[in-house]
Amino acid sequence: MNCRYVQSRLSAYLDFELSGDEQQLIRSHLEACIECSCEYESLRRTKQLLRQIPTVKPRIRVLSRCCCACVRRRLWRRALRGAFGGIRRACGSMPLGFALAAAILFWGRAADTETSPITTASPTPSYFTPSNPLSQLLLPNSPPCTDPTLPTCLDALPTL
Amino acid sequence: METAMTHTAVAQSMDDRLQREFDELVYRHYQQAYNLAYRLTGNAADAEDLVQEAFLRAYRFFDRYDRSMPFMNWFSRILTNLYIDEYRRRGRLRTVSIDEVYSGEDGEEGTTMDLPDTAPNPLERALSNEYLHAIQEGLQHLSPEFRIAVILADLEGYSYEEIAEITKTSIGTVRSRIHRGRKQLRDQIKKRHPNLFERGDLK
Repeated sequence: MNCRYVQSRLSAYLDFELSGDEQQLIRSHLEACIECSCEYESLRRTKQLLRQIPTVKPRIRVLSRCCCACVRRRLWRRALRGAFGGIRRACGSMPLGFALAAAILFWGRAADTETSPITTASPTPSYFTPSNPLSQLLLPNSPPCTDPTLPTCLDALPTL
Repeated sequence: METAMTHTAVAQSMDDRLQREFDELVYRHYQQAYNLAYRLTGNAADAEDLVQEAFLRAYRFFDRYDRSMPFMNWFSRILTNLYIDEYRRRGRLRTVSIDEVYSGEDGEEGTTMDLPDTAPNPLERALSNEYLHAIQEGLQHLSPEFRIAVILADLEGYSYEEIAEITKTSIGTVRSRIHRGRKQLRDQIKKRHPNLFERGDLK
């Protein structure tokens, strides 16, 4: 077992990601070789530093931004599905139905990237239930949020 | 006609169930997801965009999510893929120094970027902001693949096997990325703060 081989496996050794035998072999090499044990110490220190990096807390608007993006897509899809169902029932023709579906789906995809507010009237979505933690953020009768950083797309949600 | 309507109703109730499940997952994991995004991008504005984009993509493909995999593993794959795409698209993501004056898009000009509470417990105060900055900057110097591997291993605590699953590579690749990433990072930090590697500091 030479130093090059050992040094290429030091990180894996540090993370206990080697087989038991290999782990043992490297440990005994490190006890005997100063160069490799210096390299090992510096890598151990690097890992230690990384582990000390604290977690960052997001601003409150991060959650609302994530939700808004999904809610917007959800409302669009629901509205479009409703429209598609109506059209299918009305025309009953498969090829025409498929063509319309393709057009509508394409439109829906494109609409996702839009930032314009939604004007679609949608039935009361059932995910606005008190048991859902997110509804606390989105329910209109929850106490008004005074956080000025909240994105304005919350205002664009249909009134329930 | 009746079958079409029942079909729509069934699809809707299933959607509702999935949506509720998804909402709860967002609520439970958005902080961890943001932390990962922040460490990858190195600044709050890009991290917020990345995390939002990743949740939207996860939402779109949620019906393909294999429940045998923990959500964060699946989500980390989406987030890191998006990050790499974005990185390649933009050439190199702009990195904003945390000391720089932050001019937010909503007109909060002149304020310094609000640093999240980085020291929740006294033990973590051991690393001063200066050192933290050096480490984050060192991470920013790694190539995205190395950075992702190192962050997933040392900050998020994933095993090599999980990282291989998340990044869709072999364990051998993960092993070499982590090793080379750590070595490059060590050299970067050592250049600016050799005292962090002095003998007295080691224990």
